[in-house]
Amino acid sequence: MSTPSTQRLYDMVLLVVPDKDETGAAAVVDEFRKLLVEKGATLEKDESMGRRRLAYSIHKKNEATYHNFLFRGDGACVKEVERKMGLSEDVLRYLTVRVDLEMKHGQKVARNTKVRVPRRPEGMPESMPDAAPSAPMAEKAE
Amino acid sequence: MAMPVKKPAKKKFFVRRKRVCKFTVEKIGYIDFKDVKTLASFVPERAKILPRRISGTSAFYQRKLATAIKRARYLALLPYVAD
Repeated sequence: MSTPSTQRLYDMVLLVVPDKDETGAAAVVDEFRKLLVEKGATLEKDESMGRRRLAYSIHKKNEATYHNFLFRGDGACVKEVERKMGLSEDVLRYLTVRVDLEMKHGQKVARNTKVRVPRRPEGMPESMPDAAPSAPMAEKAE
Repeated sequence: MAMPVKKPAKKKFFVRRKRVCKFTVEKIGYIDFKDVKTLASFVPERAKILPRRISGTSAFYQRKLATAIKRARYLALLPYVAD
């Protein structure tokens, strides 16, 4: 069984084959949801990203139903769910990413980074099409 | 021998465009690979990742952005090559 210390935050996206209609796709997702919970994962986000057109065809399919799980669990849980997804013919593709460390590190960097606003050359208009929001400037004024 | 006197080259003035790292300004901690809208603005028509010399993204965020784009490509949210 997993202890809280081995619980990591994972972001999982799966693509369900387009042959399944809405209820069919929901049933496939439900199967994996049950498996995740059974393996000790706690779901933090569970949302359907809807049916989308693929940017390129996968196994001659041009559409898929996307579903996203954000959950806390351990490596064994991910391993088992990914194994089942690999075997399933209803799952076109899946991706699991461990996001807790990335989020933590990113937030730390974001907190500690100072925003440097480039100097504006003389006579340049105040607003440029891709100009930065004026928030940092306003802070300076205070 | 006297060298022919060259006319001074006409000075060209470039208006430097303001390039600001969007992620630094907005203090975004994590670039989500599912957020196609954000990622698509760094993937021009040719489907290549926009270099930071053009987009102005900071080195840290460019690395994160590249990873996010590659993940999105794997999930067919973004193309590998332009059609």
